[in-house]
Amino acid sequence: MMISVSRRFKEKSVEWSFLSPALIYIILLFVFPLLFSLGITFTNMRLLAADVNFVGLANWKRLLADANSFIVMKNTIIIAVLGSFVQYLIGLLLAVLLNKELKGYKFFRVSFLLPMMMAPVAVSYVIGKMVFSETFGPFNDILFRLGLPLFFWGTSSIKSMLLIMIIDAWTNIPFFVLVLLASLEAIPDDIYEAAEVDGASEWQRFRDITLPLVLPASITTYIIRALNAFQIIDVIRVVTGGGPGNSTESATLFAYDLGIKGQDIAYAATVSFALLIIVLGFVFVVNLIRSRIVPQFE
Amino acid sequence: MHKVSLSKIISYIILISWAVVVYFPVYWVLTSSFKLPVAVMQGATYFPFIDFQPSLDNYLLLIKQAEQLNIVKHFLNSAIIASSSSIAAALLGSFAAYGLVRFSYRIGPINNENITSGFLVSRMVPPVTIVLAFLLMLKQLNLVDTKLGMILAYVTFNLPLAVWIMRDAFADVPYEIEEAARIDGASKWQSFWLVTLPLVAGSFSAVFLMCFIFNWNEYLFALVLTFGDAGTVPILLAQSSTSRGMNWGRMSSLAVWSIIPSIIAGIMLERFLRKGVLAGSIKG
Repeated sequence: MMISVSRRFKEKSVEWSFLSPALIYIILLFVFPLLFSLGITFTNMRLLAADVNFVGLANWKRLLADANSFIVMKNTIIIAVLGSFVQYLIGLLLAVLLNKELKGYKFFRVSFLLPMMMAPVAVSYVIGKMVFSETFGPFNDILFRLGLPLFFWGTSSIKSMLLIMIIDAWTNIPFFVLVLLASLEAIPDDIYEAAEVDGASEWQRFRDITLPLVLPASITTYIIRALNAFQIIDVIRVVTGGGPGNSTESATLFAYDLGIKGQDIAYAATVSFALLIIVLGFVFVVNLIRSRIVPQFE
Repeated sequence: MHKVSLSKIISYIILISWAVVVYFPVYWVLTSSFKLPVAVMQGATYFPFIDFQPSLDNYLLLIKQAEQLNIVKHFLNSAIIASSSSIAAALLGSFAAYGLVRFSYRIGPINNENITSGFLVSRMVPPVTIVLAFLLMLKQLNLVDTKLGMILAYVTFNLPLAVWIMRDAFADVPYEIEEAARIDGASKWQSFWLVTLPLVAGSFSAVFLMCFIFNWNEYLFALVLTFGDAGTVPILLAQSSTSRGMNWGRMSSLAVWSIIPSIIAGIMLERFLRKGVLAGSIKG
């Protein structure tokens, strides 16, 4: 009896030796900092000062009264929710075309992944500062040669935002292509053949077969990409610095400036938590929509 | 018949347009890296030897200034930080994923499913929400602006992905294969290292490469947690892009260098992706 209990214990501890390193790691270096960060939002902590006091909800009240925090959240939501959706549509179109396996599709397939590998900081510089440069950039040069109106974005809030979204799209559409193509390739060919025999047009086949079958993967991919876009900072910091004014400033850039440059780490943590709340709200809403339009998902 | 060929033409037009969109910036940074400041100031030029004279000056200047701009240090930091944290995350993630597939754990009401989704949910938290607390923690440990501090941070972000993908990989390995080893007297860890892990080497490599690309390109944590000694390549790029006396040409050659490692990793990764290594992980 004693022997079997200790053997059982030994076996369990071997099993736990597989999981525990990762679990302990995540608790110490993810869960703890997360709770720590939440705790900071109720203090007046500054980056370099040792003196810390409990201030209750003062930071949260300040957040709700701060017009800037609303602007940066709005910017972030536009980039993440709308930007990712447009990227999804373009990605789906490209994936459908690639899935036709036209001659040379392997070339397109490999090249389409290229932007995903490149550092956003490098991409932002090359596209934002060089290709779209107002003075020496090829984009305006080509527009000029074609006799079209030039694209001056530096002083326009809307055009600056558009440029940020273009760069983010350039980098991230490949992610949609990659995942959606994998999910399209998993659809058996005979379903299409049967529909073709029944006289369904290309558009009908897309609407009635392809779209419903890639919908679950679409929603998952959209959530993953949007979660990532909610974190945007590099593109903005390199290309517009958040300007003009704060019209392209993201929540992460705002929190960085507050916490590191302004040393107001307590308020920065509050802003970052507000972003987390918005992200959770977004995931909740998308899952709600998913349960409506994809019934097999409970 | 006529209709089919029309849709084919439209398909090609769209695919080629997108290829142009993808390749043009790459072409532009490559050609710009061979342009002298004079060639840049003359306005947009497109074709080497035709409308501008290519020169290696930018690359040579960059080598000359390597010391002053700490280029070697930043690249070395990135290489060390990105590869060590990727390998650490792939290993820790594999251990955990293997355990979650093969054994059943219970912590009070929490079971394997809950633990797995816990790992995944952690990816929902925006990095900025923990980076400030991370900075304060590293300060207590005297690890701010060190490679070890950066590695600790990156493993946190790589682990959930590693657990997610490796769990699917291990789930596809039939238990019978391990059982044979177990009967021959191998312990659980022995059969993990000698039998199961080699069978999922493809997924393991894919995880390593994905983490590597993420870590090589990461910006926010490097921005907050380093200020000189442990700075990575994206920090170097962002700093140089705003520093005085930095022109397009030199910046381009720097950018070209910076994307080479992640492109190589990406090309290797694409081979694994094509083999369907990740097919199971991305189902809706």
